[in-house]
Amino acid sequence: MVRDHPLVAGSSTMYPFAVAVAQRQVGGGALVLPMGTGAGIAWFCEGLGPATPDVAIASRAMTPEEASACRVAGAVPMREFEVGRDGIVIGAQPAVGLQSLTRTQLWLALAQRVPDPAGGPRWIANPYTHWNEIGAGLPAVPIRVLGPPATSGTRDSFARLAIEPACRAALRSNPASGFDPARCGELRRDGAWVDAGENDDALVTRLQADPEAVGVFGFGTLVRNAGRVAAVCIDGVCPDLPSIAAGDYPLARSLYIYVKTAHLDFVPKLDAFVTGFYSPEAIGPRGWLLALGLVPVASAPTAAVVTRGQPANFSLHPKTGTVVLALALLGVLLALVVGLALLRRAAPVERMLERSVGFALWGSAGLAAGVLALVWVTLLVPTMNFFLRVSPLAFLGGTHWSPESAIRAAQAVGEGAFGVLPVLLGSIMVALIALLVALPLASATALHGYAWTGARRRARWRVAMRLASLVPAVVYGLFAVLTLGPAVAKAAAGLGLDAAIQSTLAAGVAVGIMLLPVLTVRLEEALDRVPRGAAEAALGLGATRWETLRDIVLPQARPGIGAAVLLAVSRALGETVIVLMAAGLVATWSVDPLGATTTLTAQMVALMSGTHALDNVRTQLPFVLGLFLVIIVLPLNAWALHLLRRSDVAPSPIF
Amino acid sequence: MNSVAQQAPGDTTGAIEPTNYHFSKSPDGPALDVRSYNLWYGEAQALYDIDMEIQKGLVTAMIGPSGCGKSTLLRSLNRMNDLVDNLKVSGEIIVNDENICKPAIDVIALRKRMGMVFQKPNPFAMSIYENVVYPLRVDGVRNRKVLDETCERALRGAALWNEAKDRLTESALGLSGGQQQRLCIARAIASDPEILLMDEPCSALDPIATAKIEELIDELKGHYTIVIVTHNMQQAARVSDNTAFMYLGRLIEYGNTETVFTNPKAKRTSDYVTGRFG
Repeated sequence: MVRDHPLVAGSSTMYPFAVAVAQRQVGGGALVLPMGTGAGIAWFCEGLGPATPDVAIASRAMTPEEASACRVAGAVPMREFEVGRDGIVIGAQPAVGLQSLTRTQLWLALAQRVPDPAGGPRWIANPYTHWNEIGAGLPAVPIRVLGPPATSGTRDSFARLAIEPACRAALRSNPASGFDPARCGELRRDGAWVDAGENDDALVTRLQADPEAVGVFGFGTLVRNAGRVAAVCIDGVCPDLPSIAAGDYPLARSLYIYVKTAHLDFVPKLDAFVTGFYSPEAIGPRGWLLALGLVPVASAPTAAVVTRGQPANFSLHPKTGTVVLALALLGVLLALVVGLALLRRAAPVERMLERSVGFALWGSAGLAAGVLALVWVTLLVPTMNFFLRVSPLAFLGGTHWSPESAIRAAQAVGEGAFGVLPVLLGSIMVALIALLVALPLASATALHGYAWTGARRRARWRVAMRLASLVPAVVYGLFAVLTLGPAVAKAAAGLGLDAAIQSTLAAGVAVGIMLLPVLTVRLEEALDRVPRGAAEAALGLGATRWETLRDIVLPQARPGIGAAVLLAVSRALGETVIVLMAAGLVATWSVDPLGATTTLTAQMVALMSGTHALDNVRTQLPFVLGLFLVIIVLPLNAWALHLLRRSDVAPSPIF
Repeated sequence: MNSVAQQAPGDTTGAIEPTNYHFSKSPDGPALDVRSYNLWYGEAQALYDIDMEIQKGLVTAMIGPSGCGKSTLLRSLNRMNDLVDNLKVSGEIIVNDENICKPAIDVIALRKRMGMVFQKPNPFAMSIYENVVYPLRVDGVRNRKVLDETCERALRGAALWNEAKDRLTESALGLSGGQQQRLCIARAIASDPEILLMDEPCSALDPIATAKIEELIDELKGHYTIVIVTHNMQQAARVSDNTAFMYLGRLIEYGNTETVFTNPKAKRTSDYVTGRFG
């Protein structure tokens, strides 16, 4: 199943911000799971697809190892967005009396191993138990620091920003200690550091129950709990908006979101979630993200940048349709006004009327043309957007059609799951079978009607055929599903062959039956159009009716016959209802008439279900198929009209 | 379709007055003998008791105002009326001692023995050569030599050979109206029929082409029996030996052309030929 809402996982520091964006920009439709930056990124990097998050929220940058794991698992392409800055705050209750610390002091207080205060060469397990042992002026309070667990990005950032620099500095000045710098971030496990869970706000509550304890949490938590806990200034810089934004505060860090750009096409509102972090309402003055404690980045990328790497969509201005219609109507009015103005000079009333009618008709024709053009454009725009994502070669040359699974896996967009050839083959096969059924019968009927049936009976027959052609296609579809399909399957089984109930053969025969009346009428008209004189002359010379038909009438009727066949083919290709009911939706690259198949038209209908967001590949597909079908059918119709013009007639009124 | 039902003789009031029956006889006797021929299109009677002996080797013209039935009679001679729905006939038409109105007659064979030329030239959309030899092909003749010879003979007979001999493979539709009509005549005589039926052959042609056709008719007669329906009295006077005047489906007068035009026996004939009505 395709997910219809964004799935966001990761940093608990980011969690309040993500939830706020989800509620305000996505209408609450996003699922945000706080599980720690590390866990979130790990899940994110499992791969693409609805079972993995669309966005990983992180309170630190993704490490190269994590990025590589992402690439290996195929969770790419992805984009990193810096959505804000945060500071890691050391928060203390007033009772503790801690106002300022240096990072060296933090290191000495919390690291797993520290240099031996007795001066020994090796580093020892942290011996300090009280703050005043580390630095003069610090209170004589036991060291007890509550902080986030190892899965937390805050913890990673804390270790990286607060502990490791001092550790490395110490190592540099005393290289002989033999301490592995990679272990610089390890925190003591003897109870002085307490893993107090992901939830910063809960941590603050615990602090209130333990007045001597100190907490490590995000700046946002400080802002939301102002008054209950005070921040400790680090290295002389106290955490506030300016110092964090500018980077003066030593424990400032950037907050990131990682977005799978492939998911942008398939998950509705995902782009709204991403751009929500940058909207003026969120991070402008009085922005609600600011109110939550997010420090905005110095220069927020625009929404265009957010979707950079995604090809920009072609889209018409939403008002285009209205504008075109308005212009067309304006054109009609203008034509009328101009016409009337010019007419004032024409004296006779009849001429006035005639010319005004002429102008009005011209305007109406223009309106009709304008609407038609709009239809073309409606097809064109989603098609162009589609081909920005899927290579036209893959579409036109691919033999594997399974858009549903491609969407589900959200993978290989442009790699064979959108090959239109099987669908085209299905359309062609149905049309071919329909023609094989309809043409012989229609030809026989038309020939007999022309040469062997009297004029009056023929006229009655034509009326009957025209009425028959008005039967709605859905009736033939029902016939195909309920009668033809099972009959074909049974007959095939009788012959020892394997036939699907919804077979190409059944659909083709049903379409053929539908085509029969109109094809007969058109063929008969084609024969009728041949001037009688030549036929009469042949008969007068002693040719039989059949000889006359064969030598004189049929050759001259060829353009009309050709036109009739072409129009029948184009009708068969465009048939939707019958194939939808009778042929199924399985796209196979095979010519087995007893198997199921699908056609361009059936696929158009099938893909129209579900989300209708126009930047969604799934919604674009029906338009692409529609344009494809029009491009195939249009030349057929044009050729037919050309042939009819050659035989000097106006085309028959039935479609 | 074409139920040419035989009916008992109906309205016999159409029979021609014996005094008006004074045609020139040919030494070879009659080619076609129409006896008491009646024809109905559905309920409407179109021909009333026609008695006419068409003489072999002579040109017989049929004249009369529009709707008098002359074309209908002409087309009866080679059973072309069979193509019409709801046709009923009674009477006989004797050709070579055979009544061709019998249903059992092989109409195709009959038509092959008569050539027909229509009002509007109707060459086939083929080459000139193919047009001319079509009757032979229909007969199953494939021998190239025979076809070539026939083509030349027919085109010469239709006075078209000199104009067409270098264009035999070109489309017949490229010929002028008069040439096309001569081509149709060539086609009609290609299988060497005994009788040529011509239904207003010049009415679609200009005077020069008309003159050529009339010349042709003059050359053809003697060898062929020609029946020509014409609206043009002067033409009838020019080309024919016998003239039949019909009026409203009845044969009013049938006689030697000169007599019919200079000294007609029936009043109606004289009214028509003098132009008092038409």
